[in-house]
Amino acid sequence: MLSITSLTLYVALAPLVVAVLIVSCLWLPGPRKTLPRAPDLSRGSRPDAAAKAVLGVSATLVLLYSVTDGLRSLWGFGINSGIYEYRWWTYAEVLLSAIVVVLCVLGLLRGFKHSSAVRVAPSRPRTWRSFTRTGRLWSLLTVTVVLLGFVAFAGSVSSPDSEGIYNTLTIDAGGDNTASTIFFGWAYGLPVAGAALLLVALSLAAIHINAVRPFFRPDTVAQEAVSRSMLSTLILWFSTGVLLDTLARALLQVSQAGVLSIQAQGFTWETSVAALSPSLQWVSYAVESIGYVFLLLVLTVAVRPRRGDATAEQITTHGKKLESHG
Amino acid sequence: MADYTAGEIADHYRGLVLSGQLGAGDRLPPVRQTARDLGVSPGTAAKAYRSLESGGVIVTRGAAGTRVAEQPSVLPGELLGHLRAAVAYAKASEIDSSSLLSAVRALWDDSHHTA
Repeated sequence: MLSITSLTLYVALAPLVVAVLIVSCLWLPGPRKTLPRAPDLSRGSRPDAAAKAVLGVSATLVLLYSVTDGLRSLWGFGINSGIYEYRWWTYAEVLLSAIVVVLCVLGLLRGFKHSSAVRVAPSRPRTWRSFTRTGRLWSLLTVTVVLLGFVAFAGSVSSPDSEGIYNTLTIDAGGDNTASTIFFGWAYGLPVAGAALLLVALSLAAIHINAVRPFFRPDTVAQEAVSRSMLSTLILWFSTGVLLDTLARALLQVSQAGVLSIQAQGFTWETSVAALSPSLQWVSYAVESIGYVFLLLVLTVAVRPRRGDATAEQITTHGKKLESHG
Repeated sequence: MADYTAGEIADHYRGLVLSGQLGAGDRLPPVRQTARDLGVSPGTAAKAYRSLESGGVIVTRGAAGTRVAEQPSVLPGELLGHLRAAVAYAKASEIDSSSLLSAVRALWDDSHHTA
């Protein structure tokens, strides 16, 4: 017979185990070629390595925080501790941390030395789309839309508590037959929605700043283009992973609250999300696993050894040396 | 580091259009990007763009940005082929671009004298 602590531990670790298995499959020789890899930017000082390290460390910390979330709740630090106190940042804290991380990356990309050793004349416009694969961008935008939609759904079925804060799910069966439980209502959802939108906006801004930086030298344009593509991917994966992690926590909370019911006068009253509750629980584990996959990919790409080559195609894509100067 | 002039910047984009690397309707980098990449003031880059626009090489379409004109003058394909071959041969022979351009300029001047 499993104790509650063991069960919580298994439940907390299961999505991580699934994610590790998926990422291990992606590291097989075939699929591994599609994963980004940092080039060897030996010439010139570029902030790419520092930004990559920041993202890698942050992804690890988010993973650790998220995996231990269930255990912390059980040990009395979270929302289920019995001594409930409303904190608007309860579900937005990972997003807020991610915002700080992306701001750090933005600061590194903007604040680092920008002057080139040899000026590289541009041949094409460089924008946030230049080094970003459309599919990866769509992943972020799709997850954001789903999260915002879920915030709206959960908020619409939530009820205010005695202080008027929309953080409960209430069953009102008439008379004294009412019951309520803590819920992912507007009070938690709106900070999550605001933080999610800010994170997406900052991520796109970081990708744009990453793209429009001047190149360092004409002969390193190819390597720098590869590095920018990798950074852009890491930023998108990190933000997508954090959004998925937040969505998973919200889904699980709604699922847990949905089991509330009242039995009176031979009838049973259930919440408006009771029918969805079992499905939402499994969906939350699946979403959490996918979120972990993104975060693990950030970590593994960040620690992957650099490569020394780059495709010649990219040399002609983004810039050239003006021949009259050098 | 030497500053680029508006003329040199205009020559750079004219070269990209003449060699077919920028085709009709292709977007040019924004003035600010050109200025930032080349370390010149936005005014210098804007002057280069105005020069290209007055020469009919590019057109500015408001929000659509600055684009190569619909019928840009491009070097004949055969000539471009010869030029590409010459550049490839020079690179294979480790001849730098300034030497090659000097030689081309000298040959050009010589053809004027002999014509």
